[in-house]
Amino acid sequence: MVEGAGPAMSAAPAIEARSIGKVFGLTSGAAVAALDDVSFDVAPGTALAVVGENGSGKSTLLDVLLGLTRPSSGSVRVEGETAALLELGAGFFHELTGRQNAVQLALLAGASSASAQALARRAADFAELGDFFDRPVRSYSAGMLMRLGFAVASNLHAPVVVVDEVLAVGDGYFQRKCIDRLLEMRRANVTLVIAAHDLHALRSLCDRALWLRHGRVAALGPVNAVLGSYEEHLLRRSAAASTPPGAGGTGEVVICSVRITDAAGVERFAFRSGETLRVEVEFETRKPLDSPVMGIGLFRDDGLYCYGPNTLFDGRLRDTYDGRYLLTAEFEELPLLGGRYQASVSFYDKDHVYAYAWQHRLYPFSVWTERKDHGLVWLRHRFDVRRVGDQR
Amino acid sequence: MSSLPNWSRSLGLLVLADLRRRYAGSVLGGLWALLAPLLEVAAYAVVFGFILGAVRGPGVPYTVLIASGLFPWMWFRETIEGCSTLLPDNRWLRRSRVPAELLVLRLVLASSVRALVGLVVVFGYAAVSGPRASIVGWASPFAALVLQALTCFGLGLLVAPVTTLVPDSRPTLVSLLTLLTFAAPILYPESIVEGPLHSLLLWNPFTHLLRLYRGPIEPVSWPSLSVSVAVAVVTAAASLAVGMAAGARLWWRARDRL
Repeated sequence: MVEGAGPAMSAAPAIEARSIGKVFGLTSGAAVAALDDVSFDVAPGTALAVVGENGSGKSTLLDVLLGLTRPSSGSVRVEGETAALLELGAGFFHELTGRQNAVQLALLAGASSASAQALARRAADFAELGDFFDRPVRSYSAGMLMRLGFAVASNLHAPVVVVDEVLAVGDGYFQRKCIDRLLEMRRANVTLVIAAHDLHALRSLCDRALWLRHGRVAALGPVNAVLGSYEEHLLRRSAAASTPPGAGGTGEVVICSVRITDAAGVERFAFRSGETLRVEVEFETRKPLDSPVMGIGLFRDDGLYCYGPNTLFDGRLRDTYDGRYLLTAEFEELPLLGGRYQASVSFYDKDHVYAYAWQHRLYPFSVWTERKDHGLVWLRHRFDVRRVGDQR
Repeated sequence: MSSLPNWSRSLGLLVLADLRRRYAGSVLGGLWALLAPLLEVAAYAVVFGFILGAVRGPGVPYTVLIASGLFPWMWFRETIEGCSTLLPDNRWLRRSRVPAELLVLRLVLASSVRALVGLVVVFGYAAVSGPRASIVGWASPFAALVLQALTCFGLGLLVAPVTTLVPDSRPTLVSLLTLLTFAAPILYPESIVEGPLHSLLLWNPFTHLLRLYRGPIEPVSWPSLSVSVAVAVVTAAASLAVGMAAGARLWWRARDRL
């Protein structure tokens, strides 16, 4: 592999990636760029978090670092041996037992026969798989594969360890054990590269972060800054992914007007948390309709669906409608906390399958509150503390 | 691909596990390794030797003859077919450091049980029928074994990535292997083929391997045996060279395709 350009300021980096590009040729002849011009350094004994949405190139990047695939352009240099925990079960011979696999992987990593056996014993202790450690890997559950994989990878004593997305698989107990082990490695000056979706764990484990987006570097820097902007991006995206405001339906019902009012029927756009909010909908049917389902939805301004009752769930107002009506939905003691919201209105057939008419998030209102509570809604609650056990 | 101080240990572990998987799980156990191919030999013997009465003549009984040829051929066929599904069968390879060579070699060695059964038949018959062969004749099957292993290994390294990269290459290969069963004197003695057809047979390296395998029961004169040794050695060397060079390069591309 080609050496990267330019000496680093202090110690030579443990990982040096220079303009890595990776293009996958498809059977159809088309090509897909999985990585494009990705450059970064990882200093020895530090930990790099790799984040990005699915398909952003994280796994390909880790594969390139580990030499499992060759970059189409650019170069990568990794100082010293690497150990990896990638996909579940990757690298395991499924007909071999957990122990045999541990020995096998140690031998392939260059260990002597005796030290491979010793490693298998340490892995057995760590994985806590009991009898399963001496059973074929093919009988393992996902959680057990993860335990074995982590136990082996973390006991190879490699100076560089790469972990991909697998931390989320194990149970809570083992996840903590893994994170403790990763922290232990950090203290032992192991260089770590960790790709994960658990941003909380990444913050506590890593110094720096790399955010990949469509195979390119979206951000690279201190972990809190990068993960912060990544998180913001995710929030924006989830808001955009929700159904945008609009209207439609099959037309058997026509929504004539919608008003948001207070208890007195006065149209209002701002409400205090705890006040009564009323949605008045005037509608007309185009033909006699048997028990249409009438519903109201309340959405927060970012698209979050807060609440959506309807006449079917309530078991009320099941009747035949023919003509013009005024539907009123009253929310007494509105528990929403401060923020901007929108109301939706919908009329469905009696089985709640297709919509006669719907208007999604077209009616805005805001809520203000003197409360300092965090969150979306105010829930009836009570705090209580009482001493347990004897006073010393 | 990578430096492997403990290749042999790790290979031994894998081959043992493979053999155990193949044979230890059944009631008959290791007997299957013997029984299944013997049944196939018996079927050929009945059809060609008894029903058709096609092959009669002096020398080795027909059953022994096809056993001595069919077993090594099964080894070759099983290895190459195994290599053609090696990558799709082991998708986890894409994200693993297990070297390609290890998996191909494992397949070559684990399948070699077939050829060993063939050797037992050959030596068994040779011992019973009275020793006629020279020392060279007795030793030649072992040379054949080694040379075939190297050839299988080289070709396997090439076949595994090619069948992954080239569409339709696998079914083509499988049909080709079926046809090739008749392109070497496996099911018939070499002596019944004459004229231009015989020179055609001599272009097939497997014909020469068969001469070596049948050394103890069908002694061949030293000059023609030395030609066969030379052909087998050149074939093995060429397969290895092609497999290591082209195979290694194609392997990276095939991995990306998984």
